[in-house]
Amino acid sequence: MIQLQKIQRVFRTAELETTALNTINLTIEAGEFVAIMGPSGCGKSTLLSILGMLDSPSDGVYNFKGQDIARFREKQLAELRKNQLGFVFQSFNLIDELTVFQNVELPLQYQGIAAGERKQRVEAILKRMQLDHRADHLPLQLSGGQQQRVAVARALVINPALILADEPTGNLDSKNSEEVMQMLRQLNQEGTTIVMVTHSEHEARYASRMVQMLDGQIVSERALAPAAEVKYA
Amino acid sequence: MRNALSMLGNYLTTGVRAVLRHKTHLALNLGGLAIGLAAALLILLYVQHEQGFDRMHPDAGSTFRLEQTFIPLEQRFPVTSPAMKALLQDFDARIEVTRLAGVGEEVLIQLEGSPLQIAMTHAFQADANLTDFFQLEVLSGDLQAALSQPNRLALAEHEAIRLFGHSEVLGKQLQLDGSNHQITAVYRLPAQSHLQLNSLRRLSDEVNAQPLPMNTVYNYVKLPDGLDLDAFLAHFTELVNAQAYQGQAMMALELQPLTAIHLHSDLSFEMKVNGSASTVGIGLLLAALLLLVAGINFINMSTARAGQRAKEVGVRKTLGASRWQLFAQFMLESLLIAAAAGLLALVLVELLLPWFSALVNRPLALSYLGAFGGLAFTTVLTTGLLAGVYPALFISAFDAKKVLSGDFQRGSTAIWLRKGLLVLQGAIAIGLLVATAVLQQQLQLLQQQDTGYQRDARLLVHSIANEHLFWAEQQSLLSSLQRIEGVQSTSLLDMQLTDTISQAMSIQLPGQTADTSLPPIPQLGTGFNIVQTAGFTLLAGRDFSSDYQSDWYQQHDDQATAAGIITETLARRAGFNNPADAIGQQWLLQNHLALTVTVVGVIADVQVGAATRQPEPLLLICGRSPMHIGHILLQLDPLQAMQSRLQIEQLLTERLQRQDIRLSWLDDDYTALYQNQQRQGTVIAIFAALAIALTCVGLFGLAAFSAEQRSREVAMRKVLGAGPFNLVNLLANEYLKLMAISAMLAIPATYLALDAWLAGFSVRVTQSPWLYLLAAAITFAICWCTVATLAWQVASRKPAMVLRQY
Repeated sequence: MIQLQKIQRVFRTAELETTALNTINLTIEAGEFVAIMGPSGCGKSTLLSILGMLDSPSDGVYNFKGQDIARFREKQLAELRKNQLGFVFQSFNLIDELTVFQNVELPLQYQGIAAGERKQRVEAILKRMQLDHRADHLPLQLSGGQQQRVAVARALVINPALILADEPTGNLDSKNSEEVMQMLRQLNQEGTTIVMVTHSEHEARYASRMVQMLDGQIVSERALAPAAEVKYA
Repeated sequence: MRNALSMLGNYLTTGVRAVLRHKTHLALNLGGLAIGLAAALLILLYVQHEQGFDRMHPDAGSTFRLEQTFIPLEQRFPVTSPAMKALLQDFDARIEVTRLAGVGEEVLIQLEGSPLQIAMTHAFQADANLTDFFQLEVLSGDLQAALSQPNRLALAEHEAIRLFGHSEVLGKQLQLDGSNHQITAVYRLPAQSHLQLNSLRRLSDEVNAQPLPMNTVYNYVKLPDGLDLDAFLAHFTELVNAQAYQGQAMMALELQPLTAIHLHSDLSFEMKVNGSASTVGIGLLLAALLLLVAGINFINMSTARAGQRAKEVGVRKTLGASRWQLFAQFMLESLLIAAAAGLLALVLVELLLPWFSALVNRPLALSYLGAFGGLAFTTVLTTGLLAGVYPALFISAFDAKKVLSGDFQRGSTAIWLRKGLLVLQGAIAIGLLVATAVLQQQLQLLQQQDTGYQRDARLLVHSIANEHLFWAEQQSLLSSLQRIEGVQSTSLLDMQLTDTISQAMSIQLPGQTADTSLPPIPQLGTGFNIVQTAGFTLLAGRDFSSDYQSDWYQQHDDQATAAGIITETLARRAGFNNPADAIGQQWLLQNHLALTVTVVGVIADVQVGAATRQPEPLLLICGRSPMHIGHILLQLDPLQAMQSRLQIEQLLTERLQRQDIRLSWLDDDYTALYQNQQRQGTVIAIFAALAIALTCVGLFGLAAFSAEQRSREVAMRKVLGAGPFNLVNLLANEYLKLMAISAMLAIPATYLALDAWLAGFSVRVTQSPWLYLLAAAITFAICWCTVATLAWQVASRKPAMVLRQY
């Protein structure tokens, strides 16, 4: 589904040039669950931003479902993003002024989907996330785990081809973390492709493949057998 | 469509909740904008009113008032001769003319069954085609009949009420010019007009027959399209000079567009005190400045707080919102706040309108479905759009990736812009402070100006028929007044010292040639004791006195004689550098009767009218007046002045059989000369104060924000041992530096602007550098206090509480 070839990302300021990503080659197949790991500053968030089309590479080819999108303009990227991608962030990034229902509904509104269908889909996804009784709450009235579940629901409601998760459990305690990871795994088993950035070896085990990064480069890649076992158990 | 609506709903929900979360911010933003809008709306309402004058008349755009500049007097008058009508129509039959006679005159009338006379001002004789030119609403009766038949009279509604107590007056009779007149119509004139026509009657044959040199009527003309106006004026200037003034270049004909009279004409013999284009200009400038200041507050506070909306922008972008959609969302929010502020402003306008109407002396009214509604809507919308564009662009441009990954920093452009705008506001505040102060100083200077005459305890009796004054055989009326207790001296004037001199004659000095001859000299007819009564400063010679019978104007067979008093400027122009040398000179004034004037006194220059012009040479002639009415001037004992005034009024009512003797203190008349400027001064002072207050609001909002931003730094410094005063200065200094830049910008700009304004006065204050320093110091002090209050709060917090939050 995704092919990155010789991706470079260079940040320039007046005095300084920093190479955040250096010759990244990566292929992600549909249905995979990829965990990207590495120390702080190794470029994994930059990679995720490029995968999520929030940032464009300075050089290289980004092939998404057969299209090279590396030179797409912002408007075209926004179009792809709203139809194909779901995001889950470490700090949830829910809009505090909107209710749970409205937060989840938002991407559907940007897609221009009719009100009736929106209601139906939001209700269905909230039910699936066991959040239906919280639909009218504001994000700040929920626990961290619940907020992250809302964020996941929001990512899922458009039936994305790909979910990008940036340390989705970074702000959660272990019980809530477990809950969110279980959910991601289940989504993956149901066929959603997931790319997740994480610090935690433990959480990386939920993935089917682990990509290790250092100083803007991919240093190792390996399939994770235990995860595969869990997956097919 | 439904989706767009639901998106709109979404924007509204977010907007309203986000805004409500920061109530102080909202209050400052909304309040500031509402006050700025309300003030601007009030001013614009006034401007709209002023600009709407005389636009309701048919063909107002092609109607002009015929005017002329008298070259020797260097003065322009709105009156011309009734004989112009025939000349104009001979020139081009398409030219329409209507005339109004009765300029500046009062007529005395007597109501049926009453022995007393009443003066009627602005009583006009008019051509029957008057209604083709002006929109007059006939309330009852037949106006055309009144304008075409003799001994008929039409009354304005308010005049009917003044005379009879009601407006049902058709068929009533009154005595006017010695004959009975019947009232056959009652009409109403639009208030928004330069016209004041209290009564109308047919143009008399006498007026119709007046020759070209008699300038007694207002001529209004409608000119055909395509007429070359310059050639037209040149032609008639030459024609009139040739026919009326033996070919001398005495006058130049001018045209004043009807719709420009109210704002651009301030001549003698205007029917009303007209408005002033400069007041309107200053008003527009103030409205723009106020909106600018309020708009800047809005922009500054919006962008300063934008960081709090950054996450939302990031999320929305990630979810697929385009930049345009986000721009629209934040623009909508700005418009909503502007609309809310607009509503609040309307409430304020409603509440303040009576006060403001009195302040500007205009009957302002709000028509929500009419002009005012449009004005309010446009102003609010424009402000909302202009103030909203930058914040919306700025916020919608946030980089989603940076915002969401946490390395988001507010752009430095926004900070520079905020600082730049704050500097602009500071400059406006300093400029307005100085302008207000200079304006007040100048007004005070003008009012305290030595006019060459005394104003304290001087009482003026207005408009008495000259049969009782200059033309009376015996000065018995003055003798009676003189006997009233507290009256120290009395005299006559045929023009008011606070008005304009409108008569001038050529003077022929002994041994004078055509090359050295003086231009016609403005002159004033007076009674005995004028120097003492008016308080002129005598430089040489003596006052007019009844001890010298030859002083008073006397006609002999083919010539006349009178005593004269001249001003020092006139003495100098006539070649007498030492005033005493002019005494005893005999000057010949060429009139229909040659008049020999013997100079008996020289006085210091007299400023007639307002001090916007240089004092002119002036000749006072004893006992002579060509006018129909004159005025009595009395010098009273200040201790008994009120008592004497009552007795004077009583005596005149009895002796003259008049109900409406008008008395005024010379000092009040003088102050009234500056009424417009005073009003201007008050308006500027109030709105300048408002602009300064709004700047403070903005400063407070920004300072509050920056104090919040820097609370961690403050806490750290406190931990390291900084004292509260030190911290307050730390935070305030940033703003003081900006205000210093404001001062540097404002001072030269203000100096130049005020210098240009002051150049229009013959006497003017010099701008003191101290004033500028003071204004800057005041602005600094206000700024420091505002910021310090906030900084103190931040600096007083326990560092542990602040640091723990991070």
